[in-house]
Amino acid sequence: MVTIRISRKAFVLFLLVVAVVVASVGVAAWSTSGSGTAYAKAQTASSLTLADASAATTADLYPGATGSVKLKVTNPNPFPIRITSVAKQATAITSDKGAACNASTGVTFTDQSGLSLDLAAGATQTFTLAGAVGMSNASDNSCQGAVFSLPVDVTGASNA
Amino acid sequence: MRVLAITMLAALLVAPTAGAVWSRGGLGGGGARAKTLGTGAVPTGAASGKKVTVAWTASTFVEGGNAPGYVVRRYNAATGVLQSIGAACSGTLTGLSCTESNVPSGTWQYTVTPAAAVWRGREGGKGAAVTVA
Repeated sequence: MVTIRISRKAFVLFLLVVAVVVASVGVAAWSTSGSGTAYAKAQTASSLTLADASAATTADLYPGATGSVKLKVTNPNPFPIRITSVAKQATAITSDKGAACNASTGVTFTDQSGLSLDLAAGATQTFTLAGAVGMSNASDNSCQGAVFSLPVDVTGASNA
Repeated sequence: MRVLAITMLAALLVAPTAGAVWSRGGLGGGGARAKTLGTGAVPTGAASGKKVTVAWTASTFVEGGNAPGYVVRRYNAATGVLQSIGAACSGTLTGLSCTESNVPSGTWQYTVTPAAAVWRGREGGKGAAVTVA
């Protein structure tokens, strides 16, 4: 084992250099002008918002089948973003058919990663995640024609 | 000096997360829709001894695409009472015909209902009466 001795001043200087480099990478993802600091830019980025996408859905689910999910996303930020992943929250999937269907929708969402869904600054757009949802044979008869709400987390980064 | 070092370490931990925008969508975050099964076809029936072969055409979902299965029922043609159906025609069938064996003597009518697991469509009309001697 090799031990390298450095002075406290050298160690702090090293940390300073590394921190500046890493923070600069963080800024680059957000800034179009290159100005500002990592903290300032990160704090001004607003979360994406999701709206009801039921009107855009296509009826393609039945027991044993897979289907698509519609996501209506708004980017409130003054810069374009790229959505890279969509993951289901712990909250249960529900339907517009009431308790009997909700008790056994049979619907499962497969978390999506490696996506490249681009959204312009300030824009609202509806995306389709093909094959992201499936329905098992456990789906209750009352689920026919149902519109399902899938609580998800969307993750993206600036795409400036 | 120590405070400065701690500050730098904090910056190291926080900076890599600066590129992510996340959102908790809440209910309604994503949407998907299910199909609806349509109505069964009116079947034909042909008796041969104690066997009756029932055949029907494919049913579809209201939104398109064939139903994956069917349920066949047999009724007493005179009383309209639902009967127990033989094994080869019971349960959910994936084909478009079945042959019921050991059918009791009498006059019967068959119906077909589209099915997908426990989903059921609308039962179709009764086919022409079939007499088993």
